[in-house]
Amino acid sequence: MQIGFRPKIVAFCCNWCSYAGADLAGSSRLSYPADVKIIRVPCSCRVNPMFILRAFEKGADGVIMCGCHPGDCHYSTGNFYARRRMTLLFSMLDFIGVENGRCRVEWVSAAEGAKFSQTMNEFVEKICSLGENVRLSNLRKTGSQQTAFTINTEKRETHRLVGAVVTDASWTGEGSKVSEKEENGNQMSVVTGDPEAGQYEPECGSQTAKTEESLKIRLAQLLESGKAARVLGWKKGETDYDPEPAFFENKDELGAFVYNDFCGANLSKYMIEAAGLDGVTAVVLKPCDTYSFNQLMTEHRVVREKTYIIGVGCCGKLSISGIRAQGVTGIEENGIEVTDDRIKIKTVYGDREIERNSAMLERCGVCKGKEHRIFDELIGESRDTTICAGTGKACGSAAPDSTVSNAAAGRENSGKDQRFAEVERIEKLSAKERFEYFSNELSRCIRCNACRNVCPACSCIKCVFDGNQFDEAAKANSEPFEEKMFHIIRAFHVAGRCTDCGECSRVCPQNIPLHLFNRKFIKDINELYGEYCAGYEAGSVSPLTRFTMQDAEPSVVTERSKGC
Amino acid sequence: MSSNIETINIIKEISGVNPLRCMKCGKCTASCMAYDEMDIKPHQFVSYIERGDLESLMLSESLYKCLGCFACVERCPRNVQPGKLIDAVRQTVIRQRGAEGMTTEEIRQLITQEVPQQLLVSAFRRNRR
Amino acid sequence: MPRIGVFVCHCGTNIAGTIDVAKVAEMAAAEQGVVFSKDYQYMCSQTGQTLIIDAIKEYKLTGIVVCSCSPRMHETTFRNAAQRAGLNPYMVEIANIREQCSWIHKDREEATEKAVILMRAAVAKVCLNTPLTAGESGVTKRALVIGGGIAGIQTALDISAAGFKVDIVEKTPSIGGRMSQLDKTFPTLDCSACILTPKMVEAASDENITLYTYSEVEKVSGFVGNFKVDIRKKARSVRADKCTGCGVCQEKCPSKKAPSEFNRGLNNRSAIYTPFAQAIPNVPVIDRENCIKFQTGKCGVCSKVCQANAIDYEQEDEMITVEYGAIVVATGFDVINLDKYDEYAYSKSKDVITSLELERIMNAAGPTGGHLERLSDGKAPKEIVFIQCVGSRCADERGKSYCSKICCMYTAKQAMLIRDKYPDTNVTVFYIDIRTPGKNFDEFYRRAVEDYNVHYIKGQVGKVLPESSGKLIVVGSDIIDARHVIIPADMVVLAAAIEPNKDARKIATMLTASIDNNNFLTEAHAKLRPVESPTAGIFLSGVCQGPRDIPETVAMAGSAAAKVIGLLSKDRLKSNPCTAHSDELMCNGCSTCEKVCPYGAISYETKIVNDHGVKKERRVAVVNAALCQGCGACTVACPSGAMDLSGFSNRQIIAEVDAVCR
Repeated sequence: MQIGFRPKIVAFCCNWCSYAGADLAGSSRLSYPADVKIIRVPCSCRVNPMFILRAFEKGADGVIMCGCHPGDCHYSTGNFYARRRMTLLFSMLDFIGVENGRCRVEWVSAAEGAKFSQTMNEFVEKICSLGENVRLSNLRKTGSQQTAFTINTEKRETHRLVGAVVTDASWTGEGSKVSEKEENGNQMSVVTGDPEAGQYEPECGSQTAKTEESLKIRLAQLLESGKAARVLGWKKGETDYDPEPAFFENKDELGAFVYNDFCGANLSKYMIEAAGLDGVTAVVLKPCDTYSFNQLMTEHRVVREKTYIIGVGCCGKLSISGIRAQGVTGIEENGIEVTDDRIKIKTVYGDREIERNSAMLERCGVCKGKEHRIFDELIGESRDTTICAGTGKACGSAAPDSTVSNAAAGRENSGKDQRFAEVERIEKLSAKERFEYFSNELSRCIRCNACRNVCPACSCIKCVFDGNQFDEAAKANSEPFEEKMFHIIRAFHVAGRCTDCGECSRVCPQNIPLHLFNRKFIKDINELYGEYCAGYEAGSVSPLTRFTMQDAEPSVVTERSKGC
Repeated sequence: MSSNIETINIIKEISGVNPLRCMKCGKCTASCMAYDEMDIKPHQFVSYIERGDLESLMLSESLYKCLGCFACVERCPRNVQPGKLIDAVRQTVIRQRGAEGMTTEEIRQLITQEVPQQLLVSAFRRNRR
Repeated sequence: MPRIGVFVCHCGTNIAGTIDVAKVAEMAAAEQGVVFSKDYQYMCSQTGQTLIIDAIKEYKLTGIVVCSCSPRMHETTFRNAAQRAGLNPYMVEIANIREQCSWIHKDREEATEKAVILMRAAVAKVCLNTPLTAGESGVTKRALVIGGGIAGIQTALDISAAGFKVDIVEKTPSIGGRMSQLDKTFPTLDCSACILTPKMVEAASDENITLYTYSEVEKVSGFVGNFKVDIRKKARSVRADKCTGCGVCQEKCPSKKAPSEFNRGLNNRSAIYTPFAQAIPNVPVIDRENCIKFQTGKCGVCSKVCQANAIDYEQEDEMITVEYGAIVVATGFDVINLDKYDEYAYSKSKDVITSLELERIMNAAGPTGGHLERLSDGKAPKEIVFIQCVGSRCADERGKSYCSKICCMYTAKQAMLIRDKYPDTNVTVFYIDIRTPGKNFDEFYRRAVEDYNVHYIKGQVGKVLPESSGKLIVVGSDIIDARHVIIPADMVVLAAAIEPNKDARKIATMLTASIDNNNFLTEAHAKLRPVESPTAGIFLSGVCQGPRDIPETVAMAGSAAAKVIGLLSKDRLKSNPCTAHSDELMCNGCSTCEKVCPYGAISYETKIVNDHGVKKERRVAVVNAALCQGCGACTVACPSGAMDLSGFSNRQIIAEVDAVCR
C-alpha cells in the first residue's frame, strides 16, 4: 500500500435502489471514506462502458457500479443487461492486464444502507491495496517508452505454424448447403439453382484460376441478362497480391476482375452501399464473408432482395505480409505461383519457395467452416484449411477422403480449439505480462482507422468517436481518451455482432493482433452465455441484448482469475 | 377383517384418537425419546390405524419401547395424541392375552433406586385410567 | 454561455457542522460558468427559496446548482422554485452534500474537499442541461378488455361502475370463460353458474359495456391513452338483431357430430350452436366446418325452421376499428395437453380424465346429466383415484416448472363432493404437497380428510394400467409409510397443470407487452405493480399473469379496473421528459436498441434524412416519449451513440466523471 495514498473512486448508483441505499447509509451515519464520489444514473443499464473507461483514463483508481438486485430493477430488466455488459467489460479489462478488483459491481437495495457503507469501505480498502491506477492511463506508451517492433515477429511465430503440410483433401459441402431464404424461389434451392449456372462444374483443389474463369463467365452472364445491375468483386490492384474490392457495371470492366489467393477482403460491408443503389447487385462472397452478410441483414443494413449472392469456394487466403515476414522481398510482377501446398515466388534475388500454410491468413487456419451460410448459387470448391494444434498439420490431412462431417469433426477438436488458443495463452500470463503485451501492441497503433473502415460490424453511419456525443467539443484524434480506449471500445461495440472475420488484423498496417479483442469477447460469450456465432443465421439475437435471470455476476472475472 | 374393524373402533374409542386429524407432520416422532428403539414410529401408528393394519401394530416392538412420556401427546399440533393410541393398542394386546396389570400396591413395592422415575410416573398415569 | 448560480445550504448544523459551506460557495464562484454563489442556513425554507428566485432573476441565471440534501428529498422543491422564477425546472441540479457527505464524514477538511468536488460535478452537469418540457397527450375515455371470462367481466363491470365505456372482446361465441364450465366453487361450494350468470347478465345489460363475442383483436397501434385497435367480428351466420334465442335451430340441426368445446369434447353438439344454455349473447353461431349447408350446399334446415328469419348464410367477417385509452388483458388459461403423460393412460382409457372433464361430468348440464359415471361403460365408479401435480412443478419439457396453484383446492372439492353424493365410493388422492394458502382453504381441505374420509397419500403414481376388466390398476407410493400402494380403480382423475391461453403470446406481441418463458404476461413490478404491464396503458387481469383462483382473479380484476379508472379519469397525460431520443443523422436503424427496451417504446421508420444537405432515405429509430420511462438501456446498446437520454445524456455524465476525477 502506498503511504498517504488517497484513491479517486467513482461510484455509479442507480436512482431507485443504490442511490437511495447511499442516502440511507447517510441518514444512518454509516461512514465510508470520502474518496468515494457518487454519480447518479437512472438505472445501472444507463452506465455505458465508456463512462467507466473514461473515469479510469481521467485518473480514477477504482470504479464501482451499484444497482438494484437482479429481479428488482425499477425498469424490470435494466440491471440484467448491465450485468452482461459489465461482466464482459471487466473480463476485457482483466484480459489487457488491468489489476483485478479496480472495477466492481454490487447490487444494493434502497434498504441496504449498511451494505452500501460496508461495500464502499471494502472497495476503498481494496483500491488502496492496489495503489494508484497507473496501468490504464499508461496503456499507450509514448515516445521512448515504446518497445521496438520485435514483438511483431514473435507474434507471427505463435500464430503461424510454419512447416505445415497440406494434402489435397478437398471436400464439397453440397449435401448440407440449403437455402437461407426461400422467397427467391428457384434461385436458391440447390447449389446451382439457377438453370444457367448448371454448366459450371466446380473446379478442383487450389486451381483458383479456373474458379476465376467460371466466375468471370457467370458474372458477365448476370450483367448481360440484366439479372444484376452491377457486380461487387475484386479488381486487380497494382500487383497480383493486392486485389481490391470494386463494383463492375459491364462486361468490359469485368476484364479487371480477379479471384486469387490474395482475395481476402470481405465484400459484405460494401453491400451497405449497394443497398442504396438501384437494382440488384451480384456479390461474390467467400464462406466466412456470408456470416458478415447475415449479420448485416440482421441489422437491416443490407437488402436481401437487391442482392444476388454467388458463394465462391475458398481454399484459404494468403497474406503478403506473411510472405514478406519470411524474408521474401523484391517480388517480381506476376511472380507468385501458388500450388496446393507451396508458394513459388520469383524475386529479383532469385526464386524462393515457401510452405503455403506459412503465409496463410491467421483466420484461415482457424476457419469457422467452408459452408456458405447464405447464397443464391455456388461456384468453385473449398478445402478445409484448419490447422491442427500441436502438429501444425492441416486437419484435412488426417482423412484424405474426408467428407463434410469428417472435416467438421476435424475442426471440432482442432481448429476450434486453435481459434482460442492465442487468447488462452494470453489469459494464462500474469496480469503484468498481459499488460506489457497489450501496451506494446496498442502503443504501435497510429489511429489510421483501417480496422474501423474495413470492419463489417463497424458500419455505423457516424462512428461514436467522430461525434460529439461523448465529449464537450468535437475533438481531434489526439484526444487521449480516444487514443487509449479506442480498441477496447471498438471491440465492445462489436461484441455479440463480430463474426470473427479477422479483417481488422488483416488490414492493420502495424500488425496489431486486433482480432484477439474480438475473440476474447466471443470466448467469454460462449463460456458465459452459451455458444453464439454472429451471422450464423440472419435474425439471431445478440447475447448482449438478451439475458437470463441466472447470468453470471461480473465478479466471475475475479473468481476465475483466482483459480489460475 | 370385521373383528379387526371392531377392534380398531374400540382402540379409537379408548384412546379418543381420530387418526384422520393427522397432517403427517412427524412432530410426534421427532419428539419421541424412544425413537431409535421403535420399529413402527409414533406417526406411523396413526396411519396404520387409519388404513386398518392392526396386526402389524399388535406385533410391534414399539408397544414396549414407548416410555409413555406423552411428549407426543403434548406437542401434536393437531391434537391427534399418538401416545394414547400406542397405549390403547398395548391395552388391546394385554386384554387379548389376559390381564397382567399392576395394582398401586404392587408398583409401590417396585420402587427402588434403579427404577427410572419417568417409568413410575407413567405407570401411575396409566393406572389412573 | 451558461450563467450558473450555486446555492450552498447549511441545513442548520447538519451540513455546516461538518462542511465549511462558505468555502464551498467561495470555490463555486471560481468555477467556469458560475456567476453567483451563496450559502444560506436553510435553502428549502421560504426565505431560502426566495433567495434562489431573486438570484435567478437578478443575475439572469440559466441554471442553478443547490448543494444540499439528497435530490430524493428536495429536488422537486427547488425545481418548482426555479419554475416560479421563470427558469425551466430541469435546469436545476442538486449536489448531495448531506446524506452523501456531511453525515458520513467526520473530518471537516476532507468533507469540505469532497463537497467541493460534488459541487463541481453538478456545475459541470448543469452547464450541459437543456430545458425539458413534459410531453402531453390526450386520453380516449374508453377501455378495452381482451377476454370475457370472470376476470374480463369483473374488470369491465368495475370500470363501467366508474362511468367509463368499456368493450369486451371474447373469442368464443359467449362470455363466461372457464368459470362457466365449473360445477361448484371452493371453498364455499356455491354453484359456479349461480354466481357467474348474474354477472354475465349484468355485463350484457350494462349500458357502458359493449360485448364483442366471437370476435378477435387483430391489430393494436398507438400508445397509452391513445390506442387504436382493429377487431375482427367473425361471421356468426346468424343475425343477432333478429334472433330470439328460441333454440329450435339447434334442436333441428341434422349435423350433430362436432365435439362440444364447452363439454371438453366429452359429447357432441350441433353445427349451429350456443356453447351452453345460459350463453350470453343467447345467439347461436354456425360452425361452418361442420355445417352441411356450408360444406355441401344442401340442407338449410335451420333457415327453414327459424321463425325470426335470423339465419344469414351470406354473413361475412366484419372489421371495426375502435380507439381506447387503456387495454386490459384477461385471456385466461387452458389445461395442458397430456399426450406426453402416457404413464397415466390418459389417451388409452376413457376413464382416465382431467379434473376439468370431471367438472363437466359432475355438472347437471353436463354430458351425463350430473351423474358420476364411467365414460367407458356408464357404470358408477366405486374406487376413484385423484393424481395431483400432473405436469405442474416439472423440471422437464413435458410439463411446467410452476405450481398451478388451484389444483390442491379443486381436487379436495371434487373428492369431497363425490364422497358427499356417493358415500359408498372410495376416494384416494395422491399428492406431493398440499398447498392451501387462502382464507378457509386449509380448513376446507381438512374437512375432506376428516369429515369426508378422503384418503390422502403423500407420494406419486408411477403408472396407471388399464385392464381388460375395465379396472385401472394404479401403482403409487406412500412415502410416509414407505410402502407400495396398488389400487384397482374405476376412475382416475388427473389434476393437469394449467397454462396461459394459446393466444397470450400473440396478443402480448401485438400490445408490445412483455411475456415470460411460460407465456404468462409479465407485471411491471413483481411486488409493487402487479396488475400493470411494463408497457404503459396495458393492464393484466386474471390467470394471464400467473395461476390464481376465482377470488384472487376477481380481486385482481378490481385492482386492474382501479388502475384503468385512474388513467381514464385524467384528461391529459403528462410524461416524464427525461426520455431517450435518437439522433437520426447517426442512427443506423440496426434494431439493437429496440431489443433491450422494456416498454416497446422504440420503433423504426424509413424516412428522408437531411445529412448536411444530402437527402437520403434511411431506416431510423423513433422513440415514443409517451411510452419511454427513461431507463437508458437503449443508449448503451446503441453502437453509434445515436441514442441519448435527456437529463442524463452521455455528455452530462462524462462531464460529471471528468469533474469528479479532475
